[in-house]
Amino acid sequence: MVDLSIISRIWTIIVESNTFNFILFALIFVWIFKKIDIKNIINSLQQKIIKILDEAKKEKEEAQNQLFQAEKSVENLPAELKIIVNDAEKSAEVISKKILTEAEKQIESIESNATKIIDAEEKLLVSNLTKSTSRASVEAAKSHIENVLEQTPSLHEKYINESINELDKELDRLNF
Amino acid sequence: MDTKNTLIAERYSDALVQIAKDGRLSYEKINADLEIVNNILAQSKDLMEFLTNPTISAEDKKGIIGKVFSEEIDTLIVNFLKVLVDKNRFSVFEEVLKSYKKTLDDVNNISRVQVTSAVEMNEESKVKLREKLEQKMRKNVVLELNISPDIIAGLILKMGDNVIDMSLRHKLEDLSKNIIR
Repeated sequence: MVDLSIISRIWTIIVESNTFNFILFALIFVWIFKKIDIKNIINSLQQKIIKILDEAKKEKEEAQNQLFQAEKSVENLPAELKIIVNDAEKSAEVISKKILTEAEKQIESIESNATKIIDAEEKLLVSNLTKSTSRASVEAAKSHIENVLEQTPSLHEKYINESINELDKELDRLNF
Repeated sequence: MDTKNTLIAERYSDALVQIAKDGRLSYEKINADLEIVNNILAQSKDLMEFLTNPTISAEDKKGIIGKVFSEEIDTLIVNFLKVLVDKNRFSVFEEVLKSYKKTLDDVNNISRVQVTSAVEMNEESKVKLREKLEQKMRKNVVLELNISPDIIAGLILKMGDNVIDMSLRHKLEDLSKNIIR
């Protein structure tokens, strides 16, 4: 009969032995390497990484290219902007001048019309005032003359004689 | 009175002038008789209406003319009035009288001037005015005087179609017009 204690001791020695553990560990590694095909995986990963790097490189180039294009496209931007601004300023100047001229014309026209209306109103007012004043003056003169004639009837004779005296001129005018 | 009636009246007036020219009656006698007829017609509107009424016969009208005028005027003038009735033209009698007076004035070289004054003219002024007019017009002037206080003072003369306004009213109107201009 095998003594179990001996077996147990031997087992303990084996298990506790570093060499044994190392060998076991190595054997497990070999087995795993064989089972997983780690080389292939590494190769695959390597390819992927290379591909990623290539793509990154391409993207970088493309980005650089785009940047270049962008830089190129904005290269003349200040000049173009200056031209646009200048054009806009010129247009604005022309438009403002036109607006100003038209506004001035309109103002002149309004002023002219207003002046004409004022002149016409003034003339009408003066005319009406003159008419009223002259009528009133003539009426006053007439009234005064009538009073004087009433107080001095001999004046009638004077006016009749004046009429007779100016008759020559009137008859000549009528070709008598 | 319209132009047509004036022309008709002138024709009848010419007939009267012819009577005068023929020496059957003087211009003045014809004028005097026409004035008598005119005065009677003016006093009696009924008589004028009777003589111009178209529904009354000419014989009746001529009978009345004979009765009313025979003792007042010459037979020739009575007959003249009867001719007017026969021709149904009695309505133009007044125009005939005017036309005849105008002809009579022409014959006598008379010009009638209507004179309007504000007050009555004194004799001296009348003579002065008439002499001046006669001298200028080389006609005998008869002044027909009217009084109108409306003219204020001065004179207005009307000779035919011509008017000479020398009144103070006219001068004031002129003054007013000149001020307004």
